Amino acid sequence: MSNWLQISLFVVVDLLGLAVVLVVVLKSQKNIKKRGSSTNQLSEQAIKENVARIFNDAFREELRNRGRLHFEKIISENAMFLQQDLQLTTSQLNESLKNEVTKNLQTEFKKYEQSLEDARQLAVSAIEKTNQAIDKEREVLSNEIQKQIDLEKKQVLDNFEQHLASIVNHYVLMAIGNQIDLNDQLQFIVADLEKNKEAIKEDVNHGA
Amino acid sequence: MEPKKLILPLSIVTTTDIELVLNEINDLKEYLLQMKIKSPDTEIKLPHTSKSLNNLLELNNLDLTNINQVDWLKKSIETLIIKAPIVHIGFSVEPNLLLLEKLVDWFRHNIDSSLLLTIGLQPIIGAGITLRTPNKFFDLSLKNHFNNLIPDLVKLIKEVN
Repeated sequence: MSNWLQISLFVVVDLLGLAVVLVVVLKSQKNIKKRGSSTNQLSEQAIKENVARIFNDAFREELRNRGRLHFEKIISENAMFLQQDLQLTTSQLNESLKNEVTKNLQTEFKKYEQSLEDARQLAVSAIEKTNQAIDKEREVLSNEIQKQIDLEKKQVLDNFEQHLASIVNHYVLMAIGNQIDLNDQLQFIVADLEKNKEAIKEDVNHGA
Repeated sequence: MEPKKLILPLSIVTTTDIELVLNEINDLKEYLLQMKIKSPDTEIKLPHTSKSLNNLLELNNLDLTNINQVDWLKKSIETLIIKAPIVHIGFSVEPNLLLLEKLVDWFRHNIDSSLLLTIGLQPIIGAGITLRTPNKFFDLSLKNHFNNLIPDLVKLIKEVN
């Protein structure tokens, strides 16, 4: 903004210089007028000639050249200032843009990190719940399997003991059965018959 | 004087025994008839008869020379074979006659006086008997006794373990 102010100042200064020249010319014309009527005699032609003499083509060309040079100088300086200012502004803009982008990126990254953290927490929570459910299920299954194993073990043991008892019975029967004389068995046989006497009698007399 | 009901001796134990006696009576009756035809005036000499038949005749006061008594005896035995109650007894070994007589004595005193037995062998029972009446089965064997003791035996085995 200061460069633009300087350019404007230079333009104003040049315009003031031109205005001073015009004021001098007008004053000289006024002075001529003030010289009275005599001067009135000076024809406008003379004034025009003076003016034309002062502001001849060379002078105008010189003024134009000086103005052009001065204007070019001002333009060049202003261009330089403008370039510097533009570079500075560009640099500041870049910096600002960079900062803004960085800030936005950081904000977005924070949001992203927060989202990731939330997702991670959610996933961890879900995994923990799943693990708890699996542990619980595994415990139930383990208890059930253990129960089945115990039951099967008990059944096998019972079968073994039952078979062992049958084997012992069979062995005893084979070992002593043939060694017992029937006459010795008679009293036991009769005792058993006495125990079942009524049932035998009932079936023999009324069962047929 | 004919007895009203046939009394069986202890020597007749099984259905086979009574059927043998019946066959013997039939033969004897045939013999008596032949002898009567052949020489009606001579005294009939009776053939040798089995112990079972002798006991049966003695117990029932029967005379073989009396054809009427023989006819009655034959008819009574035939009726007995059809109607007498029969029980089957299984032994682990072949029983002797004395044991069978004692058993049939118990049955005829306590169950029915005309009861007959059929005898079978079941070596697996070890000792004791199995008894099969018309509708029931009584396992009075040592094997059954041991089987009833299996829970106690299992208990003992568990205590040992």
